[in-house]
Amino acid sequence: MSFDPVANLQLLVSGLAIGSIYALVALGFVLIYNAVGVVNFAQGDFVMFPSYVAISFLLPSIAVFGTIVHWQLPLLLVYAVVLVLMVGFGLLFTRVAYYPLRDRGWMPVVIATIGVSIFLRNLAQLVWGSQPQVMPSPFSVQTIALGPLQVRPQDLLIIGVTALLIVFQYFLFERTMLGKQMRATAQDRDAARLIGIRVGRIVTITFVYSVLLGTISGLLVAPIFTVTKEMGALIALKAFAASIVGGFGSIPGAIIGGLAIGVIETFGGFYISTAYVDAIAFVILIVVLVVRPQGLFGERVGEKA
Amino acid sequence: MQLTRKKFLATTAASGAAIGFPAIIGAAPEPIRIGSIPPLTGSNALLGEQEHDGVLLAVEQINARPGKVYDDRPFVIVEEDATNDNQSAVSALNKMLGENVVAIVNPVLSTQIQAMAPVMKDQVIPWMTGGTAVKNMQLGVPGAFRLRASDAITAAAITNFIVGEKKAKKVAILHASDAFGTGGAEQIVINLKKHGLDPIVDLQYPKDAKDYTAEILRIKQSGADALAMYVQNPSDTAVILQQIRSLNLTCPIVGSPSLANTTAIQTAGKNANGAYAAVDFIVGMNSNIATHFLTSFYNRFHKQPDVGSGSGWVFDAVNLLAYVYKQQRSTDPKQTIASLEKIRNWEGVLGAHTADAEHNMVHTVSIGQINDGNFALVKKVTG
Amino acid sequence: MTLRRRAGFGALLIALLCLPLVVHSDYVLNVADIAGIYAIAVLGLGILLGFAGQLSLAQAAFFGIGAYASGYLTVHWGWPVLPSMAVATVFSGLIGLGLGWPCLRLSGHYLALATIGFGIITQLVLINWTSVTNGSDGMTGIPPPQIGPLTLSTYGQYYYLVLASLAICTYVAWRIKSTRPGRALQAIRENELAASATGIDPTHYKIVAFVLAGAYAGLAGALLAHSIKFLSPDSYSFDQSVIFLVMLIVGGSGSIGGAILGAVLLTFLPEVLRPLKSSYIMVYGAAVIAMVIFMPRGLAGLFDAATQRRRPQTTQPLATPAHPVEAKSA
Repeated sequence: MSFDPVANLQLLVSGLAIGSIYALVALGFVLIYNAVGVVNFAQGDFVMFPSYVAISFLLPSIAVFGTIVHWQLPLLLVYAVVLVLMVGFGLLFTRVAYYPLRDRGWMPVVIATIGVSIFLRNLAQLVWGSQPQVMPSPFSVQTIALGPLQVRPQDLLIIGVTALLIVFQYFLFERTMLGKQMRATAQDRDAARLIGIRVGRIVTITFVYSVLLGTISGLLVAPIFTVTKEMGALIALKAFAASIVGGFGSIPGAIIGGLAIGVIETFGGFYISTAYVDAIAFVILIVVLVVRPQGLFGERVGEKA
Repeated sequence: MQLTRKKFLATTAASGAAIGFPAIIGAAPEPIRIGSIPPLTGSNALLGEQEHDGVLLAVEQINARPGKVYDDRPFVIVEEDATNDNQSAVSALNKMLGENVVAIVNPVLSTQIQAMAPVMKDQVIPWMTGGTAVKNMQLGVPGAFRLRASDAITAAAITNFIVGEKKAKKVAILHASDAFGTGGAEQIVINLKKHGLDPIVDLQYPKDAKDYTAEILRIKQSGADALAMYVQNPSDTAVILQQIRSLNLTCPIVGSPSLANTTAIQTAGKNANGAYAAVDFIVGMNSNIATHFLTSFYNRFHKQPDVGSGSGWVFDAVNLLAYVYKQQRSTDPKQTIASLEKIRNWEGVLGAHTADAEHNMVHTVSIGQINDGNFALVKKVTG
Repeated sequence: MTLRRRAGFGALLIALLCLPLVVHSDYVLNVADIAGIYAIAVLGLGILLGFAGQLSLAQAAFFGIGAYASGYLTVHWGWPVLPSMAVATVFSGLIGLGLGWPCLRLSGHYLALATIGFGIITQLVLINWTSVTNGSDGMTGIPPPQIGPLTLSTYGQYYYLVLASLAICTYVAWRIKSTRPGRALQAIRENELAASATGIDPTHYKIVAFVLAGAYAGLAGALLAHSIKFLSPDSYSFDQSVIFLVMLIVGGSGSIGGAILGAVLLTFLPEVLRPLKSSYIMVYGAAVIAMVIFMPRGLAGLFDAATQRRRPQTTQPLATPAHPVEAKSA
């Protein structure tokens, strides 16, 4: 195949966009993992569920529990409402799936998060039905021409917001007291408790923050994916793989891993095979696990109590 | 009280009536139990919902007319969930076979049909299926009938249109990795060969793919002058069409029936404009029956029906059964199968139904074009 | 074993043997066959996870490998069914070896994720290797087993084959558990470092556990293939591995009876809940969460507690084994 610079740039932009979503979801995983040593299998559904809630308020009409409702509200207001609702949801999730199991190690919590995932997906079907829904795009144009490149404005938004969140993440963790407390708790919970950090509160905040990351991912990605109950599933698995490739437990690792997987997948689909695209992420994963389990950015060794 | 003659006669008459009344009228007319196995849960729940609605609408309409099916006998639906698991679908079928049904409608998924075939082979009972894989009707099940156009007919229509009308020589194929997509793509390749052509590129995308940049760029790069699409899932369809527009792929697109699904058209919006699809149903064909179906479906369920793959064919299946039962004044399965084999030009939502040797009922497919949310007829094709 | 327990088992065995004679419903026998098949697969996972503490989410992949191997041998090479099933079982076990060996150094989440990746790749291969599997179109015409002149064509007849297979698998698992290898596996589960310090070679035992888990799931897959007589790749997804895991947890990880009980219960439960139509799976999800929270030892643990045995507990509360190091580098 001849090297076509326009096509490759196109692939790069798409790859970075989907990679950004993986990065955000991976970040959510890593934060929870660092705080409580658990992988949250429901992270993908934190992308799906708020999307459904959002469209309930965005579409002129939508069926909720079988009856048509007309709750249409302005876009920014809806974003705000959804974020607030998902904070509440995050609190509920922490209380139900994590809190009762917190002394029993990671496996029961993992299973509980699997249960939450099953529950959420089917709750979504029960409430909103099986019809795939379209979330209106915040933009009025379909593509923007940047020279010879045709780019979806939503892709640019995704990349832009992700970049902002990464910067925010950095400031939060490096420059604020809350961030430092979160890092201390993640590093060693008992020690954190000893120096007076209210660990329970920090854990809850971490969970809620992760839920919000998922929510933002959902709001960003829904206009280009269509909203279905399965939309979060494969994203979550790939994000999980991405976080391991980047180095499990490492925040920059999750982000780089996510972007890398997105880009490699997209290029791989073009140059190698579109059918095996999903395999690419997991083959990379297995290779990394076997050859360099600590991933690109190494990881902190040591088990949490 | 004195027993007057009048009173005696009156009492006798009354008692006689009380005893004899049921005997005269017969016990309440025995309901006719038909089974339906849509996938109500799992990844095909959307299809299952449509099928549930289509069967319900047909049964309600039939039960509302005088005489109901015949002799005032109503239909009763016995429904089980096929889920999206093969062995769960087979369990659902086994459960249903123990529930005294005289006929079964559904599934539409070809893999479920093929999983159920070994069980249905031993049953002599009319089985109205909607799957389009060619193989479905070649499994030796005596009572199986297909109420939609098979992939052979649809793919032939698509290919002939692309090569004949659009004069394309370099045809690209894009299909899903599921049974529907692969089966359809295979048929397109077979039909291209009949024109002495091979596809310029044949791309398959995995089930949950969300981004089609790689596929679309490959198609562009190949210099294709037409694209044949075999995609079942409406949300996949919508995203593909959107990316086709945004990446500026301009060759004509001809898709499988699911491209013209109401859901797909609505979800894709403007991006679907100009795309063609081969369908077993088009608005404007068979005006009375089809229009009546569309209106009554909308009035009953407040949403548009997915006519081809979802609600239209099951509506026809139930109505065809009612027609046969009325004609023979019986629901005997063996007799029904024989009657179904003799059906010629029975008009349903999906057009004329005529049974062929392999028990296929629908042989006409049309090519239509999508414009501004409307799907209009371009060409009628008989397979 | 006490006389009472022996009598209990004996009665259970007789009841199981008589089931097809008493129950004539094809539907119930069909579900019973499937329950037994799942029990075998879950038992395999129980050896790997319950005994050895290795969280594998690839059980569905072996389920599929065994099914397609046996299907292929019988459909394409015309082999008789029972030998095909045996070969398929061994083949799956070997693939289990192939998965277990690179994963030896992994534990916890890393192992889980590697197995998930393996499962996804396996499913993709099943979908795309069309010359062998016929891809998404599915493999039809898989023959039923023949024993001498008898073809096992009814669910009742097949039931006995499933029951016999399950009995053998249970026996093997029981022998492992109550002898040295079993204790070695449990020691590895509890604390791998300490176990190796006492002279147990974790590598050897973990490999064995992976092989057995693969073989059991492969056998189960082959049994299902020749019952339904049709195969398609969409049955062998990550979701299916999750179902096996949930069955094990609900039944009681670490307990043989628990594994079987969990499989049987969670096979019959969706059937029982059919009248709920679409809401049943939500109930299922909620039930899973509730069980994990309130019944950490699973059903088998509940049973143990109820019979108040003073024997050492056969089940472990579902909790994470203590690993000194999460991921080991070379």
